[in-house]
Order: sequence, then C-alpha cells, then structure tokens
Amino acid sequence: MAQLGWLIDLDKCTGCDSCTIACKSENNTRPLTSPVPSKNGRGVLPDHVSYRWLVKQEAGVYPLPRLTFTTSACNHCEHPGCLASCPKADVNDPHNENNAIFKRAEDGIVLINQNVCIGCRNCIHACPYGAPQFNSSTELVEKCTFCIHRLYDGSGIRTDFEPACVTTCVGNALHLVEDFDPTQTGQNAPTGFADPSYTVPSTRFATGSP
Amino acid sequence: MKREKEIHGINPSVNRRTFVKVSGTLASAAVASRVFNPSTSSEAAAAGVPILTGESLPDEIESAEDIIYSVCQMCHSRCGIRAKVKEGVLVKLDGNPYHPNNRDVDENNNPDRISYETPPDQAFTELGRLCLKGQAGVQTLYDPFRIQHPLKRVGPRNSGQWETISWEQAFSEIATRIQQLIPDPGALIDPAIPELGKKSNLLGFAPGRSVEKEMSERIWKNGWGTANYGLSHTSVCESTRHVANELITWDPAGSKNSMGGGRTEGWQPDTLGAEYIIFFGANPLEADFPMVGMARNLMQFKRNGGTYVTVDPRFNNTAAQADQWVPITPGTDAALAMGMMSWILEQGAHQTGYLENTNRAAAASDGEPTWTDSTYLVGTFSDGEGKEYQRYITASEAGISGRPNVAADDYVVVAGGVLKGHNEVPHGDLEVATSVNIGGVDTPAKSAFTLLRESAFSMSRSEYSSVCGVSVSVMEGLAEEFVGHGKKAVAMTYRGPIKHTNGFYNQLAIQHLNTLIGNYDWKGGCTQGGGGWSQKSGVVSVSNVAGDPGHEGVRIDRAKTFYSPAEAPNLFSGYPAQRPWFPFGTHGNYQEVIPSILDGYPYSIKALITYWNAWPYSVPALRAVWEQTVADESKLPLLVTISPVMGEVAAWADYVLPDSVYLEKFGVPGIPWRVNKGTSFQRPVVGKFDGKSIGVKPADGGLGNTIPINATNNYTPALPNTKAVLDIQIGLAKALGLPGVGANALLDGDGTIVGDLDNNWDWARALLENIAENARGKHPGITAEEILSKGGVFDFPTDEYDGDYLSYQYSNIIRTFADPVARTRDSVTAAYYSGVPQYKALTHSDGSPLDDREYPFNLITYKTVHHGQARTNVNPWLMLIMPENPVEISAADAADMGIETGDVVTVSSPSHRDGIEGRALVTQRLKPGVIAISHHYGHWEQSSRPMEIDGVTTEHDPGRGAGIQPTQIMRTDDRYRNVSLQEPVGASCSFFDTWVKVKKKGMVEPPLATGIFSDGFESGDSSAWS
Repeated sequence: MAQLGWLIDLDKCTGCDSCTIACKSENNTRPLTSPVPSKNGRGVLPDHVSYRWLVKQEAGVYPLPRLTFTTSACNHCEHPGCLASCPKADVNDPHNENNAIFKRAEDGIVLINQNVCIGCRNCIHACPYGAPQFNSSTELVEKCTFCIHRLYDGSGIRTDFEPACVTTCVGNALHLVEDFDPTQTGQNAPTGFADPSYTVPSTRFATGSP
Repeated sequence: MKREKEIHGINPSVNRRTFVKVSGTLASAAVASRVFNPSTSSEAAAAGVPILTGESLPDEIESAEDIIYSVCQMCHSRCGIRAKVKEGVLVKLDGNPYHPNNRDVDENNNPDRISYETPPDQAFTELGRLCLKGQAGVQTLYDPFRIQHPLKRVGPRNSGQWETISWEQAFSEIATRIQQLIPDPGALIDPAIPELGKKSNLLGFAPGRSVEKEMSERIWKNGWGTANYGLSHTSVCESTRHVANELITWDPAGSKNSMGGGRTEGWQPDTLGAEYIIFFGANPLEADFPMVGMARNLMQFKRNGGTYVTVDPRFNNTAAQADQWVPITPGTDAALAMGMMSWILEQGAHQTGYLENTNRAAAASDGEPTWTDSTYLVGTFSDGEGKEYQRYITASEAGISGRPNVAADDYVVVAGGVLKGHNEVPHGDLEVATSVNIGGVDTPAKSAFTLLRESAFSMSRSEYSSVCGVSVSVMEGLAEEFVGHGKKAVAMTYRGPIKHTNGFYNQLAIQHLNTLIGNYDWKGGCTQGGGGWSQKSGVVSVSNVAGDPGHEGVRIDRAKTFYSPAEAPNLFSGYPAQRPWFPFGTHGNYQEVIPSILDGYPYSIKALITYWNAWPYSVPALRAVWEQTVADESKLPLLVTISPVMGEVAAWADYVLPDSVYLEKFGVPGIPWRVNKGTSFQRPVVGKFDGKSIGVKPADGGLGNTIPINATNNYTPALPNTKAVLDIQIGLAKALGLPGVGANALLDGDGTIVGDLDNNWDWARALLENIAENARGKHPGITAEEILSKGGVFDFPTDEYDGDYLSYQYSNIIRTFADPVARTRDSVTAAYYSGVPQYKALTHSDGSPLDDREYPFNLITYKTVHHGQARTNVNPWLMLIMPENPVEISAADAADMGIETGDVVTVSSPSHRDGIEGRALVTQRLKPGVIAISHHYGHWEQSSRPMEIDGVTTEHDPGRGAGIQPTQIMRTDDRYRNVSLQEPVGASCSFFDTWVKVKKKGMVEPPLATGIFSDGFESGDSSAWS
C-alpha cells in the first residue's frame, strides 16, 4: 500500500494562509457567507471548521525575534489516534468504510464517514495534531480528506489534480508525497509538533537549506 | 449517478449547485447560503455513499468547459485567475496557468508556466497559484449585502434612508441635476482667471482605483471635458515612489507637466536572477504587489541560495523568512542609504566605468544598456530675486555648441580638464568642481556625481547611524554585501520609505544605490518591467472622440501645474499659496480634493462622481473634513457614487449606482512590473449575455465558457438590476448627451468610424481587437477569441532573459540629479527644491520641523497578506483569519506601561486627542518606540450597520466593522490644518509621521482574537497543536 503524505519546506512558507483559504473554498467548510456566526461585532473568532490552518509562532527577543509558520492539517497517520479512539470504528478492520473513521487501504487516506459519526468528539481529544473538528451545525466531526474528491474521478481513476492547498501554495513549500516513507515521519519537525512516534504522521519537513 | 465500481470513500457526482433559481437575487443571507450550499448532505446520503465533509459538500471536479480565465481585482496585483464555473455558479478561483504572476519556474528553475500555445481545452488540469484574497473573491461576488438597485437618498445625507429607483430615473435625474448645476460647461469659471479653465471642470470623476480608465477618461475628459477626469487614489498609495522614479528617468520632451515627464515610474528587482536584495519598507510576502509572483520568486531565490534583508521597523512575514532584519527608525531610510553610499564611495566600490559613460554609444561599447548623468555639469544660478538654484548647464551657454557632435541643448562634461559636449566624448570626469563662464558670469559648476558624493559625505556614518537607529557596523556590512554581487544585487523600496514628508529624497537615495553598481536591465538587477501589448490603439483609438470639447485648466488638486507667474498668472499672488501645489504630482493628489472643495480653492466643485472610492476611510486625517464638507450641500451640491456595496463614501451620496464586482466586468488592468511581457484581459465569469447564462452548457441554452464575438452581448450581472461600470458610464453619457458614445462613436486613429459604443461589449471588443493587433508581432495570427479564451496574451516562458541581460529593457539615461525639481520653487515655502539625493528631516508644509515630542510613540501602519485595503472586510474567510486588528506594542514599551496583550488601549495624537480604542498585542517583533496598527479594519460602513431601503431595515454583519482604522488619528499639517502631512514633490500623503500616546484602559472580555489557531500570539483560541 502506498501512503500519501505531506512534505513541508518550512523556510519557503510565506505565511500567507492561502492554503487555509484554498481548503475552505474547495471543501466549502463553514463559515461560507455573512453574517458570520459571532458573539458580537468586536472581532470575536467566529464558529468555524477549517481542515487546514497555519500556526504562527513568535519566539526570540528584540532585536532578534523569530516568526515561524507551519501549515497544518490531518497527517493521515499510519496509526491514527482518531480511529483508535472512535467508538464507531473497528480498529481491527481499519479499512472498512462503514467505520465512522476509516483508513483507506489504497492510499492511506484517513476519512470520517459523516453517516456513521455520532459526534462524540473522542477523536478530537485523541488526535495530537488538532485535525478533527466539531461542526456545531451538523454536530458531527469533520477533517481533511486530502481532497480525495479531486485526486480521483468518479470511476476511481487518479486525476492530474492535487489537493487544493498544494495547488495554491505560494512559496512552493507544501508538497504532496506519493509514497510516504513512514521511517521519515516527523523528520525536521518544528517546535510544538507532537511526538511522531505515537501515531506516525505521514508528514515530514524540509529545512530547505541548499 | 451510477457508480462504475466500488470506490472507498469517494463521493460520486452528487453535487449540483443550482444557481439562484430566484432570478439572481442575493436579497438575504439565506439566499446567499443557497448559492454556497445548494447541494446538501442529504443528496449525498440519497446516493448511498459515505459523506466525508460537512453540510456543504465539495464541488465536483472540473472539465475544460467549466474553466474561464479572467483577472483578479481583490488587490492591485492583477493576477490571472482561473474561474471554475459550474452551471453558471462560480465555485472556485485559482490562478491562470498562462499568467506570469501565477506560474513561473519550478523548484529546479525550469519553466513551469504553460506555454501560450497550449490550447485551453488541454490546459484545464493546469492550475496557477492564487493567494487567499484572490480565492475569497467568490465571497465578494456572492456577498449577500451587495446593493441591488439604484438608490436615491431620502432625508439628509448620511441618514441611512434610501429609496430604490429605476436606472432610467437615476440617469435622467443625475443628468438633469448636473445640467442645472453647470448649465454652461463651455464657459470660463472666471474670465478674470482663465487658467482655472472651463466650468466643465466643476464636475469631477474620482475613481479610487481607475482600472477602467480608458473608458472613464473617454467619457469625462474627452466627452464632458473636465480636467478633473481622474481624481484617483495613487497619492495614498505609492505616488512619491512613482514620481521619484520618473525624475530619475526624466525626459525633457515628455508630457506629464510643462517640464517633461518620466520614462518609467517603477523599478523592481529581477528576483530570480538576483543574488542579494535589500527591501526597504517593502513587504513582498504580504503587501507589496504582485504578491503571488514576488513571493513565489523570492522563495525560489532562497532555494537558489540568494540572501535578502528586510529594512523595516516591524518584523513582518518577509522579515520572518529573511536572512537579516534591520529595524530602522521610521522616516530615516535615506540616512541609512546615504550612509551606505558614503562607505561604497569611500571604498571606491562603485562602478566607475559605468558612471563615467556620457551617452548611449559609450554605454553600448561597454555592454551597458543604460548610462547616467554622473559626469554632467550642474551649475548654481541665481534667479531674478537673487535666490540660488541648481540646474544642468547646456553646451550653448558653456560656449561649446556648434562643434561636431555638440548641439545647443547638450549636457556639458569635463574630460581631461576640458569642457566637452556629452556626445563629444565617451567618458567624462566623475569628480568635477569648477566654474563655467556663462554670459560673463563665473558660475560654480559641479558634476552630478560630485554633488551626490558631497551629499553622502555631508554627515558622518555615525551621525547617519544616530538618525536612523542602525549601527555603523550594520550599515557598512549592508554596503559591503551590496557591492559584492556585481550586477546581481538590488536595493528596493515600496511604501515604507516614501510615505513620509521626506519620502521623495528617501526614494532617490535608495534607488541610487542601484545606480552605483549599474544594475539596470541586467539579469538579477533592476527591471522596469516587461510591459504589455497596448489596448489603447491599433484598431480603435480609445480616446478619439468626435466633438471632444477639449479640457483645460488647473485641476482641483493642483497637480501637474506650476504655481508660478508663468502658469497661473492671474491666480498667483505670491507665496505661500492659499493651498499647496504639486507640479510633479503626475499621479494626482487624492488627499487634497476634499479639503480643496471645502476651501473652494482654486474653485468650487458642483458635482462629484466617485467610483471604487473610500476617501474618508483610506486617507489620513480626512474623515472629519470629509464629513464637514459633504454634510454641507452648498459646498458639494451633488455626490453620486458608483459602488457595489454601501461603503464610507456611498453612505453620504445623493445617488448610489450599484455596479457589478470585478468578476462581472471587462477590463485591461495590465500586469505590474514583471520581467515578462503580457496583457491580461478581464471578463465576466458569471451573469448573462443577451439573456444566455455564462458557464451553462450551450445545450441548456447557455454560453458555456465563451462569449460569441459577433453578438450584441448586452450584459446582465449576477444581480440583475446592477450594471457593469462601463454600462453605467455609457448610460450617464447618453443621458447627458455627450459625444463619444452611441452609434458610430468608435473611431480609429484617423477619425474613421469603426463601430458603435452602446454597451460594455462594444468597448471590450475594441480593446481586444487592439491588443490582438498589437500582439501579432509576437504571436502571429492571434485573434480576439484566443485572447479571450486564455485570459490575455503573454510571452513565452524563458523570454525574459537575453544572456546576462533582461529582454525587456529601459535602455536609457539614469539621472542622479533631479533637474526639473531643482528649478522649481515650493508653492508654500517659496524655496527651491534640491535635486540631490539626501537625508532630510521631517517637516510640515511650511518647512517647520515636525516636533510632537509630548507624544512618545511613532505610529506606523502596515498591511497583512490577509487583506487588501478598503474592501476585503466583506469576505468572511479573510475576517476569520484575523477577526480584528490589534495595536501592536513592543514588549519593552509595553512592560514600561504595564500593558499586556488583550488590554484595551487608547491611541491618541496631536490631531485626534480623544484617540481611538483598540486592543493591545505585545510583541518582540517591533522596534521600541514604534506603534503599529494595520490599515484594513475599522470600517464604519460596508454593511457593518443596517440602513433603511424603502422603509425596510437591511441585514448587516457587525463583524465587518471590527477593529480600528488608524488613518483617523493621523497628523494634520500645521499650516493647512484640514489636510494630512504631505510630501511636496510626489504629492503623497504621509502615513508614518504621526506621533501618538498610548493609554491603558483595562482588560475587557472577550479576549483578543488574532486569528484561527495562532497560538504564538497568546490568542483567545490557541488550540493549534492541542
């Protein structure tokens, strides 16, 4: 089984959040239109579901501050914590699409079946990377699908398309890896990225040094 | 929807968006949400497959006929876009893969942009990159709070009370009102002061952004005949940078003012070819433009081993990925640049051979595309009043003209100790200080290079260092690195250095670092851009109007005209002028228009038509003056606003004419400063032509992704009772009975009739045919249809270089001495300007020093990558990224004041003592002593509050008004108290010269929300990594 994965070249990330919005636009995650759900007009973070997001971290002290950008999404782990925690999934039959969470045998993509999910949120607590997100409207949990609807046509044939986030990455920092090597899991991970030994995320990072 | 085989987890095509079956109305949020989520999860459930995402499913993947190429207008980068349109609904925006902004080279520096020869039906699997603002354009189109019908004010201005009227009524009433206010447009405003021009000038057209200016100029300049045909925004943007660059490339035979004009207004680095770049107050990963192209190239530049430096008081995204951050004191960029220059000159590290060349032939023999004025003699003269000024010395006055290769107006150089004409010898002496007998007077004369050198050495580097806050070692280190890369180093600016009262000299000083190494037109050096193929002439001459009444006289903002007995003899009454004049303000003066109307100087304005204009929001210190002026109908009797939303200008208008958004428009917005050559073409991607829907397959009665070239093509936008701005102006022109529109209105350059101008397609087709005609040298046989099908016409990947040179060259003189400026007196101080790059302190318009020392912090603004300036608060996705903007305070200053992130603080200035309230963000990423507030939040209109239309309260989104807008507290000028501080040569308003107090008010709930998952900022929502 080939495992699809992410390669992120951290020092080519421009911090623009275009991947975040490409994902929202492609997957039509909420909020989609005004007025956005919010508590008042003072800039409260509205209720939202975002499958990809950018972590900005400030460090250092003036005049040598640092600002790092890490684009983040579901890492489609080899041993998904979400799946293991899911009361509606059979860990012994992880590829079964009748699980609320299942991992495709063909390409390792981890998916949440909205028809089966009960919205218990165990997966939200189990995932070390913040990928599953509760939709307060459907009261179910959603997350990144690797844009599976773009990667394959209606007949299951691989298309020439890539996930929306990869397509639009301004800095050419975010890449799709066709055959992720699990021994490279979490390679060059930035500060704050959870220990990859727990779930073996299909993500590695490049420092970008020539 | 049958499934061919078992596919694990893949949704088959269950997803069908049915666009607004309600005949296109976006009347309510509920309807808009139908646009966004017409296919529901229940449809998918019915198909019996796993549903993988939330209540609104992804759209089905595209085929070739779903793709329409156009141009983005979410910011001014004018990127190519690839619109995915399903059944007439725009569902996704990506970058146009033919467009050089959106595709360039791959990681291995091989061409990645698709060749222009690729047929569109083979290109649909190729996508270009598009930034988050561009992608959020879907929400600009389907904004549920767009204005849907023409509105007429009911009750006083700004009362929020409107009635809907028909377009016919709107055009007719507006035309009648204009004719009542200005019954005799051909008569002089004041026969005693003929330089004011005709009464047609009492109507102004003020397009904040003028992307369709060929049309608006045709209507208002060539049809109506006003000098105020384009009161546009550039002076709040980068006009001083443009103007300084124009003076560096000055052509005495140019036509921008009576002294000439610049050959180019912009320089940018050839990033992919460069090895070392210093960005002074430029933020190519965020606010500089075109961001996508620049940022992409800059990251590839890093991949190729390049080094770049960010000089900025604030550590922005560009600094985050830079090799070095140089936190500089705002407004002192020239001190750093002149200090660097002094080191380079002291070391002899400048390119002597390049600078010694006197003319084109000499440069060519050295393999240099450009040459400079460095060896030309500049004399110090005395005017009739005994005031000293400087200018170039001519060959005739030096007594050397008439010799072979010496014309009367030639420049004079010294070669081997002898005066020579600049075409007489290939090289001149760089260091010259002499005197030349002119008309019997010994006139002190120095080479332009000597003047530059003396200016650089007028202060020591330790003095420069104490001014700019950059240590001597850092200053010298930058200089040493800069000269260590041959022609492959660039010093580049954007708004940071120039939006100061001394901005003109900051731009000169920094730009001439490039001159010292002669990097112009070299691969890896400075480029003026590849330009494009013109849309203005060829088949149709866009400005040729039979019956053009002509336009004449002084503009309301007094740009491009000299305040002097020669140009304003009856208006000139000695210095200081009643309001300042801007003879070199070739891009106009946006901030002066409203105060000038208030003061009635040089005349009053009767009618103002605005388009894409956010005056009181965007312009420093204008809001109160705007409200005072516009509230008084005797000051401004008619205000008409063309706008798709109820913005800060529209709220005060007498009539609001709702135009379509950029996804429902034609235009040729150009491509900014790429090394590639191309012309983008913008077209509607949704709506109807002659009743047939775009993006609906022809079998269903639609047009698919084409526009039939020979049809009438009357256009209906997605909101059917709005109109494209071109059609609005044609409607107004017809109601006014102006020439230039209607049957047989389109003429070629010889005046031969070539067509009608009755709708926006007539115009778009004329532009298309012109572009095709002009592009055939590169693309033989290209047609209007092909340009339409590919979103423009572009050169081929790899066309940008010719060996070590850029293919598209400036190839002319670079002037280190700004001769026209040095011959000009300031309209306020009466002093001659200096033509020499230098560090100048900040001043008011009367030359008095800016001294607000009781206000301890220097306020700066910035734009993040998440927003354009005045319009993107209507995009929920962009507001989600950062729901409000904070008051950024350095950690050191915050500690002194006991301020913590989230505290409510009041920021006040000498011009706004009550101040504005915002929430603090304490950061290490800011130079102490500086306060930073971004420039795209804090709207008080734009659907952030309700209005009454036909007695019904409209829906709104209070979140659109979140945050604060710092322009409101910006410093006014001490002499002209109803306008911001200004830069007198380039006519910029100052953005970064306001000093403020910050006072802690306390902590209130809810906590500061700086964005989704931004845990590094101690935000209220820090669930990033769990």
